[in-house]
Amino acid sequence: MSPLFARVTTGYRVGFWIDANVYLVQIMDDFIDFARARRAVSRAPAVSALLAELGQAQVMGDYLHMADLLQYEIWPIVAGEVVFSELSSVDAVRAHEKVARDTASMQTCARG
Amino acid sequence: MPDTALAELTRPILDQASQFEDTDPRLHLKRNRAILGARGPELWEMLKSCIHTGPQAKVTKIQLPHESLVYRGLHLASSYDRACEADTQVGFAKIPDTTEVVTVYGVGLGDIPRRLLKEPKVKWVRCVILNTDVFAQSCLYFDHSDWLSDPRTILILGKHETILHGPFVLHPVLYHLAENSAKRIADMAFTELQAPHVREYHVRRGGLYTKRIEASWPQFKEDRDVRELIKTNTEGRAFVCAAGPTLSEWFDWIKRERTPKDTVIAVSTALKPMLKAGITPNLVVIVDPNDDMIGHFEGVDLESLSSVGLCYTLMVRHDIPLMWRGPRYGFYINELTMVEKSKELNRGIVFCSGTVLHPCCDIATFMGHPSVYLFGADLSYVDGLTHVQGATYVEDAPCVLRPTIVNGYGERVNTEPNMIGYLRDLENYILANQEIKWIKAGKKGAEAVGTTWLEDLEWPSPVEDTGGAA
Repeated sequence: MSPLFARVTTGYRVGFWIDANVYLVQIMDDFIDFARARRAVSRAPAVSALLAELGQAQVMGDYLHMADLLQYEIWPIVAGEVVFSELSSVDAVRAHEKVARDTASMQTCARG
Repeated sequence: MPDTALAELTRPILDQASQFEDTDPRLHLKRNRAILGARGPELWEMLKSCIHTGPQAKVTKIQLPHESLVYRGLHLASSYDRACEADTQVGFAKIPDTTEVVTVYGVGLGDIPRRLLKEPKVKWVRCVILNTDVFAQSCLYFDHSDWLSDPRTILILGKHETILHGPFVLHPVLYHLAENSAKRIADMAFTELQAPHVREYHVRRGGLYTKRIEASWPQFKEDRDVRELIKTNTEGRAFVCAAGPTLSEWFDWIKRERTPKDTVIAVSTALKPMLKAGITPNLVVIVDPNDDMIGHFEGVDLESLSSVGLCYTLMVRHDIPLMWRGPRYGFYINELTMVEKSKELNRGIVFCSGTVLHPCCDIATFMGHPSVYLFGADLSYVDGLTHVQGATYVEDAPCVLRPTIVNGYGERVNTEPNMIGYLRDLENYILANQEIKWIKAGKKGAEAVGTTWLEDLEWPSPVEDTGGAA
């Protein structure tokens, strides 16, 4: 995995979810750019479902599952281990925006 | 227990699990029960009661991609590669080669103890149960007999684990699911794991600290030493006012109860709300180096506070002490750059583990107060707010899932990881200073070991009528 993916998945896996959330937005941005660059819809439903599941896991605080999804589902796509033909899905973008929104909210940190 | 009784006991859960025909949970429970009954009768009794309440537990066993258990929406283990995940967790603990005893906080599906028992050097694996219900469900759905029957395994209930035993592995999900009685030890493990990140954060901010210290140094050298306050009030009470949301609920009480003998010590964030309520503190304490701390004093008539002392540390922006009209007391905290500075100029070092609340307590202690009252020390988002109303930066708390603390009513309240660390360090400080009477106000805020609730002293529960003759 790339250092960024490794940092985020490790963060979620060992409980440093705040650190992981900081970098998740970058991963999602990269992933959406990656998907858009391939411009078609054949894998869009699967990917948007994946993003929705990721967003849901984040809302639930199911960080271990987020690490799983990133490591075993999303990274193989980005790494080219899974054939990814094209993607252009409004749903995917919406799911991404939701993750970004939740993350921004989580970063709002109280002062001691 | 006869099998018919066991079947009756587990029927509600079996109904839930009936969709999984390839695994009979009774088989797992029987195997696990046989070992637990022999090795941990107390634990088994607790598990039995959890199994009775099974239908209320939100448990889903998932089969794909691999077997795992989802408890209240949280995966207890990877559903892709449990062994790899256990390796990650154990690897993260950085267990020294010479270690013979490893503690596992949170058992989950047993992957981590199982993995540790494969280490030839490990002679004992202490397994601390952080949530008995989770463990009960895990015992129902998964076979733990291999590691449970290993003589090197020691089972401990979280409520019995009072100090952190290292090296340890903390199950990250069980941390979130820790029951109230195990919350403190889970927090201690979590805070310890966060320590490298906190250190990294402070290293990143080292430039800011250096800049602040350089700017403050000329003034700091001229100001008084905080140690001048030692034993200056050995009779009155200290009212430490932090800026948590419950502070305002006690303004009337403070105004009514305060006597000239008492010392009111305010964190700088609480200053404005207190002044607005008509309470002028005796001391204001500030430690934060951030630029926006100046906001705590904007609009305040500082001339009217000319008898109020300011206790500040070297890394506070230098214009804050400069504009203060009352006496100023400088102090160090245990921060690397300041430790170096202390070799140049002898000043008091005050306990601070991340929050200004700590120096307030330490100052109250060395002033000699026999009792310290904590107000607004909520360390959590009481009523969904970050601070007391009227503070400079009061905000609505983030609404997404967060870590929690236990409040005075036994309820969970959202908080932040840093505030959990502050709370546990405060507790350790209090426990080390038990010659002082510590009284905490605001049961909606965090419960702190070693303190007594002011509410319970002020409004004790009525004694139950036993029906006896007068």
